[in-house]
Amino acid sequence: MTRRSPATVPFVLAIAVPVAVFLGRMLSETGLLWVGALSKVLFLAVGSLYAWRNARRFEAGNPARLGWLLLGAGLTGFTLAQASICAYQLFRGVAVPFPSVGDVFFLIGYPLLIAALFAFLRSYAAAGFPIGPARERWLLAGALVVVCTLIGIPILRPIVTTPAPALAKALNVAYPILDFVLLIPTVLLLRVTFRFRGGMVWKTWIALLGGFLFSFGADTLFAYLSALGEARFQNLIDVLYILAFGLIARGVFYQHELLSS
Amino acid sequence: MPFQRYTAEVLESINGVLAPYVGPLMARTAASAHCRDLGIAGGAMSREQVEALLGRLELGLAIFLGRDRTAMVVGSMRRAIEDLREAA
Repeated sequence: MTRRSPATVPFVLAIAVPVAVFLGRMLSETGLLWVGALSKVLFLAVGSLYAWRNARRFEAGNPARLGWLLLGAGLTGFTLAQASICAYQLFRGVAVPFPSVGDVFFLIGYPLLIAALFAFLRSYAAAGFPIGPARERWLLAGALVVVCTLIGIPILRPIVTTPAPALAKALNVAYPILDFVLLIPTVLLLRVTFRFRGGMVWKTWIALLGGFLFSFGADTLFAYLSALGEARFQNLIDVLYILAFGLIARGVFYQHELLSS
Repeated sequence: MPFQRYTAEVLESINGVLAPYVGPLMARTAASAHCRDLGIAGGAMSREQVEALLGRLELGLAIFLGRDRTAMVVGSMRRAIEDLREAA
């Protein structure tokens, strides 16, 4: 059980190669566009496919099944959103309009991912393992709401004050708020996950939740820099997204291995 | 002679099987916490107490590992406990 999974090396390479390509600027702008777009959509597709498969492997009535179903649906929304961005960038050769059809899928995906993480939290609390008192989780959630509000205000201020069409501005505000909401169950699950360190359950969850943390970082940076009209850090944002979606795919696949090996 | 196993040895056997899945810290604290909840406090455990403990662990593990893998893991625990020496 403690031996290395045969999927680890392919996953590490699949994440490390595009990250190295971006950090080292090894390709032209067009090349980077292809590598970034394809790696993101591929990781999301793998994550979504195996989340659905994990849900099917959990028998009806198992509390974890709902979490995996919601995660599969949320990642499918993100896959479709990212695929539509790919279509604009790679095959139509035009700048992605904002808003676009991709935003519709992102807005469907976010609530599903948030619901998935809360469903996991609920089912894991019901598992009877000593994961700490519920009061501790409520206190942590309360503290996170305060911290997110304090961090969120300076991030949202330039977005709100910058002139933009109403729908674009609403979306630019909605995305960071959705990210902050997603951050709350992510951190609560991380707190639980640390009690499982050293085991297979830990590997699944540290990868999955690490992915969500990178996604939060990428989204927040993207929203903030976009509002300031700053485009210099686009490569860093792409790296964060590749790490995010790659880790999410790895975490979902770890769970698949745990259920099927 | 009725089935009797030393509690410490039962917990050690359970830890050995559980730790690769839930980590050494959780394996140790989970089995001990369930023992406390089930009122298992003595130096030896009866078959009923062992089965009650395994039942609790099985319910929780199924949420992480699914029913099939959990049945396999709990089966390994049961065999490891069977192989322990009889408590005096």
